[in-house]
Amino acid sequence: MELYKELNKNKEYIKNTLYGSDDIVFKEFENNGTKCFLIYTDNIIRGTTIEEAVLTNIMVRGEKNFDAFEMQNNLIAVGETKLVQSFEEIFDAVLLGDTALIVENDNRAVIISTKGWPSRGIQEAKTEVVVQGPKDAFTELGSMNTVLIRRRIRDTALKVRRFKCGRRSKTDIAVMYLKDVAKEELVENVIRQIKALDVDCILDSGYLEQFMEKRYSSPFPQLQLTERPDKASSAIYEGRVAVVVDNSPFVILVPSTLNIFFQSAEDYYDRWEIMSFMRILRFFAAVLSVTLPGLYIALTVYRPDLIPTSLALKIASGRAYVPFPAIAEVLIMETAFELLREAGVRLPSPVSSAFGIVGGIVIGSAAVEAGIVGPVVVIIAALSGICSFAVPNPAFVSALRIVKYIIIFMSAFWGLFGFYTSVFLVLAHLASLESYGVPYLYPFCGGSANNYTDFKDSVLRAPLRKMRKRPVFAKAGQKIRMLFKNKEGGR
Amino acid sequence: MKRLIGFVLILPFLVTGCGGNDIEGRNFVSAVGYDTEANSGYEISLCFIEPDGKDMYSAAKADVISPTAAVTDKVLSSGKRQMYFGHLKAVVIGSSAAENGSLDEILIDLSSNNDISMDTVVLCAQNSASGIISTVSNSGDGLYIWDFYKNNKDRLYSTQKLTLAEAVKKLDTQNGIVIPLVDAEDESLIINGGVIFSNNIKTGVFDNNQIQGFIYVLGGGKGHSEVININSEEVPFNIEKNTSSVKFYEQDGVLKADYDISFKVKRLDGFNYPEGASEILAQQIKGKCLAAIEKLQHLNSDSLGIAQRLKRQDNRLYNKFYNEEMFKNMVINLEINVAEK
Amino acid sequence: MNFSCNNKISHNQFAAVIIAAFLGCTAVSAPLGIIETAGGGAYISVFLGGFAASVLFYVLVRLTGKRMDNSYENAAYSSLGKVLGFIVLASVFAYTSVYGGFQLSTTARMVHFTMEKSVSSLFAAILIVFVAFYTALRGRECVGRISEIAAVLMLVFILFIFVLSAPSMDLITLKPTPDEWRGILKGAFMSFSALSVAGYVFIMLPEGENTKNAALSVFAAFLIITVVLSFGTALAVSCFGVEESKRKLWPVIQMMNYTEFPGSLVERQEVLMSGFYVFSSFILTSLSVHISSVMLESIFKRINRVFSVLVSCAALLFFCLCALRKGGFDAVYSIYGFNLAMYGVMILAPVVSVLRRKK
Repeated sequence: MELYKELNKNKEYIKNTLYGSDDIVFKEFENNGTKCFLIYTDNIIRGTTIEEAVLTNIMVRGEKNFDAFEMQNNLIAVGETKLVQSFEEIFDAVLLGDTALIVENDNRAVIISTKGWPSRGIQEAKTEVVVQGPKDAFTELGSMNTVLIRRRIRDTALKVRRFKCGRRSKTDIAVMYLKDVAKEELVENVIRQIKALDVDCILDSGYLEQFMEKRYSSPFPQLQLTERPDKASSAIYEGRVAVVVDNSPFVILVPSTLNIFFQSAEDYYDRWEIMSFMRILRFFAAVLSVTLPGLYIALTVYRPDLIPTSLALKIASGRAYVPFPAIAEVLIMETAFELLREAGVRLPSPVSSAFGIVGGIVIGSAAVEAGIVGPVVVIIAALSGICSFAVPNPAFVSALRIVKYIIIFMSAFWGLFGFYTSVFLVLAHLASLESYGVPYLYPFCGGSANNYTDFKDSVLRAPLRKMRKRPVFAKAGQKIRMLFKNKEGGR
Repeated sequence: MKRLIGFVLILPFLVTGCGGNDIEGRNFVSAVGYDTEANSGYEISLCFIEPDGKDMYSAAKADVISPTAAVTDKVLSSGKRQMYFGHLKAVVIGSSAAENGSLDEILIDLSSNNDISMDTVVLCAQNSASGIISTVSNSGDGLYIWDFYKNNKDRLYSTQKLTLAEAVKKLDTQNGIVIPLVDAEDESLIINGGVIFSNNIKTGVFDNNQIQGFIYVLGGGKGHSEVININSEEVPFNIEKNTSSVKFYEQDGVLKADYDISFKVKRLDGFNYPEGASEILAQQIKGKCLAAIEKLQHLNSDSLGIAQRLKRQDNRLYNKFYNEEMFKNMVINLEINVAEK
Repeated sequence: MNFSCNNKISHNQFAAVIIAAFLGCTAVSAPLGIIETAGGGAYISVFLGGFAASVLFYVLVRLTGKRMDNSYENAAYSSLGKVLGFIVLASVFAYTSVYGGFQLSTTARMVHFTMEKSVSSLFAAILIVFVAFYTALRGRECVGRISEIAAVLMLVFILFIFVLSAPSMDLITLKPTPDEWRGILKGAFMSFSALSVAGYVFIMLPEGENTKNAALSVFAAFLIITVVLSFGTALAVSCFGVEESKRKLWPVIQMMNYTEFPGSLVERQEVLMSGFYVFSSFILTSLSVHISSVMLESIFKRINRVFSVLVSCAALLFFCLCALRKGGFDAVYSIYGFNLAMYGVMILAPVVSVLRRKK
């Protein structure tokens, strides 16, 4: 709706619309007899800006009757201002922390950038902790997050496309990518998809992630969330697209493959031998955490002949007075560990680690003492729990936890055959997933698309000098990312 | 459609599942013995380990079951726990079963049972198998025979290891087989020597020296040791390497085989080796080998697999000479080479 | 280069599908009969037959000219006309269902007898078909991708086993005698036909690919299968001897028990290894279901994808049940004019290739 020429009408309309919002401040004042009207939201503005750069200038230095345009150009000493002509734009700006100035006999308003949100500042990353490497993490402030990325990519090709999403929340979304590296269809696809969303609110990037996933019924995350600016930047350098969501300390990276969930930012900061070893360990741990309880059931209940004799006898004697079948035994222990994990999250952090360890040891040994479970099961459950923590991405770990139960049940019902069937089913499911056109199991599947060079950054992490090509995400003509002509690294 | 898929998913749970038996609900049979009774049934004795939460090795029990084979299943399942053959380690053939010619029946039956590992050790008892099994059980160590072979991997002096797979293969391809002999003496087991089968029937027994000769002819003497006696003083040699090759030819209408058996031996520290010790060693080895071959030929038990070798090496000779008595009538020459390291 | 759902697979993936699907199934079905006819020299038969089949497939793929621009089902209709096209597609549908069903029945039997006694063969078959339903519904890309992983894993493990067990091979039993050569040649023909029933996978050949590369992949894939099979047969025979191998249900897999893994965690490796066989069977069944469903869709246009896959599953399960009722392994292959169908496919295969020539 367009603004009126008369100030009173404007004032009335605005006050009516914002009636009941006591945190909105209306300020009326005069400049050489011209009535002015100032609107802003309390506490999310920087007060000094309004006082020093706006009010002082207009009230004291205004020598003649300025209209809105002249005020914007001559009086208001703020870098970012713009003229608008509709009420909607005024409301959007005011609710965002900007200040609107309406002048008598003018159907234009000046929007003055005065944003000054409360924020907790840049802190250390909590979920993706590294030993070596930068410690800063994204914050809830979307603009700050783009800055954190921009600081690491000082390239004119880094584009930031901003728009709003959410019918009522009007959350700021920023899509960041390297124009000459990222594929255009990918960028357009991401933007189109987000713009097409018609939902009430986007409270966190987790919302957006679930809306953007193609197969939302799958337990496996098809997009990557990160709170590390270095990780986001490296993804952008590879030709991926980062989606920064305001009010969320997590940035979405698309596309994401299974392989990426096993990469930690640290992998590239430390030596390649140890990090290759860590990669192997992570993959091994992930397989173990999913299959171990199921395999235990399949082997002890259905095929004890596969277990080495002395171990079989040990398991048998350990279970001799256990009143429950093996499946119940495993479920009891697994549930206990899941509860410990969940309770540990809720507890204040100094207590939680102690609680986890003590709880694990006490419950485990008490259960064995009481004869409710065999000693081997405690080891199995603990091992599968520990293994799951070796995978760096929490979302992927949750998926593994769900899959573990599927395998447990199928193994309990049909033994080794059920075990194989469930493993195949999981593999088939993974093979059917795609993330924005990239197979989820890439580069283990379809590696030929990039001449198998992406294997250098999968189960092993090749020396940095050997990873000359960008991964498959980059544009076809933009595959080379480093050039060495001589040993020193010069061209 | 989704309901249909859901139904298909649930259906299996309704019709099958949970058919397993928990591991502690099984008795682990570690050794099984076969004897035959007069009325042509089998007497089967089992040594099994009960998982009872205590020291499991002490829980070995022997159970002698004496019905005929036909009702074995019923007896095996009537106990408190299921008899489980998945960890069967040793099969002992009693001498009555061996003399009756039921060897291949027993072994093929065992090998066709999917629970049973083909790595199971096959032994032949001097007397009754049930005696051996109860000795194993009384010794408190249900895995005695298995451990014996495991811990003496390359150092079996007067016996060999025969697995179910090897035994079955030999039964198929040659008319004779030698099965290691086990005997119980004063509540302890002695595994040495071997029982000779020809055409599936027990025909004789190798003593310690003969079975050593037999092993040497097959080229499996690595890890054995040979003790020679000079001037009433005993000096040992360790055999580091033993190879054997055979050549067949025809001479004067007789089939002849030249065995070329060579050894690499090592002297041990702390012994005084006189002059010409290796010649005496070669003589002693040759004597053992000849004794073994002589005995096998006498019993017409082609346990060396000579017919099979001849068939592959020289088919023409095989076709010319092959008959039931071929092995018996063959002239076998031995050439022993002993080299010191 | 874009991955997204175009229902296409690369020729590398195609080779992986062949290896993953047929390595396991032929490893079980082929050597049994061949050892019986050829005796100790069975491995030579397997190699000769397999090599001949590989060459045949190479030639057949090359028949398609430089590039294939048309998918098989479209080519059949556009160049043969409605009636003939219908007959060809319907016969391919029937053939895949029967072949897939028979192979499934052997798997189901194996599962029941050697892997899990508590799982009846009927139920094993149903479960496998259910998994195949899921995989086939996700399209041929899904089958291709999963094969890529399975094929690599299988080959790595098999290579590992072969390297470890090769020194213990008993070469004496492997030397063929002159009177066995007749049997060996006969066995070679058997192995040739066992592999050439795989001929129908041509239908999956990716369109738009360079034929030369595709032909090489196919050749390499079948050659790998051949080499692995003949080596496996040799090991099995040297391990069990001829007679015992005949008695064994799956000698090539059961022989793995004798490989002494350094510090192995598992007592009997062969049962764990049989997992590869089950995997292979999953892939073959999914492949069969997928191909039949594609045929159905091109015969009856506008058919629902879910429905067509469901019908294909049902058809495959039906033939599997028939085979299960009939009994043992040999009986299965002597029924329903299966051999006739096999030769039919062998005649059909060149026709298929020529059809897809670029016009």
